[in-house]
Amino acid sequence: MAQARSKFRGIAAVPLFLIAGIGTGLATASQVIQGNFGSFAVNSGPWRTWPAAGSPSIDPYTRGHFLVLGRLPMSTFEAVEYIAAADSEGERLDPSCNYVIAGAMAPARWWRITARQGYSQQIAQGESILSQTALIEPNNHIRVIAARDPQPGNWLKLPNQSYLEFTLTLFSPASSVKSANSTVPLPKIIKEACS
Amino acid sequence: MRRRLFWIAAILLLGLSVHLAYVLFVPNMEMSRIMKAAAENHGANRFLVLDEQEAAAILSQQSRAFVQGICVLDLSSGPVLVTLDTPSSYWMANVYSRKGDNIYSLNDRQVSEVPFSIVVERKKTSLFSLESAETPPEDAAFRVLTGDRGGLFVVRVFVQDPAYRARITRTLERSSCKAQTAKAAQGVAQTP
Repeated sequence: MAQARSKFRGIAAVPLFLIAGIGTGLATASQVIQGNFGSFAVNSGPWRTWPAAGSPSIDPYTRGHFLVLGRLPMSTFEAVEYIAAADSEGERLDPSCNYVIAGAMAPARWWRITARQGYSQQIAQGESILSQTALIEPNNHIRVIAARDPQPGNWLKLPNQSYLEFTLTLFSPASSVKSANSTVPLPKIIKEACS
Repeated sequence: MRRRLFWIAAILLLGLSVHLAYVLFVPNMEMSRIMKAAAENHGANRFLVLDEQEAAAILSQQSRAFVQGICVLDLSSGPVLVTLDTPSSYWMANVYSRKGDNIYSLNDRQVSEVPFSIVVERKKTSLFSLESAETPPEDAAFRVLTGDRGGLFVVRVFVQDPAYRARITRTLERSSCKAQTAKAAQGVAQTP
């Protein structure tokens, strides 16, 4: 009886071992790829970037960050992409709240801010703002209001989803942006009213 | 106690294997998917301007800010000559390896005249070759050498105003991508 019980426990342990092992492997890989662990991503306020993107010395985690979602990394010579999943206070972004993205913008030939629905690459009309069409304040400062309802000035429409990320892409950035990712002037993300 | 330690070590080992397999193989598989999806309808060494839906399906990037053109590079039978016709707007061209590494970048500020050509070819790996560096084909302004037998060429042209989209697409559609047989490439290189 005791032998049969021991054998049963041995058999039951195999699926648990597989679930725990595969789960641990996938969870740790996903966390490093998203930049939550490790030194492959660089944080600058609420914004996070992958400095090795598109370079000949790209590491497997940075490559994974882009390609796991089917996106091709662009070299920092062409574009530097910053992603924010939290506001400047460190609170996770909530699409039911309004946010003000305000402050100095890093020098670049042009830039784009996008409200992204998590991993979705679908960007609807109004869910992105381009520097060419945005109102820019003196000293290259910007003020964008991200909200579901129309707002005066630069309005970034928020998607009707439960998860939200902002993506700021600097195209053809100045050399100071490419070399000092953590000290680049980037706008703050300030939470306002929530519905 | 010993049995518990054994299972913990086994879980960690399996976790490490899955972690490495995911990080090393999934991006390569995704790049293969991109290249397969791009080559499926139009084949290799053909220039294709993607509409917004195709851009979302192939490059997972639906961006109204760009018109994107691609060419799946098959270098197995010789170099590939990409001739780009771009509008006077901000654009960038990239060559990606089969692993998804960006091996070459170019933008509008580096090119004074359009249309222009980029030749992509494989590095010669023969240990016994005494030939000096080959002359690039005369009609190619830029030359990209890769260790891969394939890759992906992507050009993204910025659309300042949606009204310009059709015009930019028409201009970009005049671009081409074609394989040069080794003989033809040599002939071009030897042209005085």
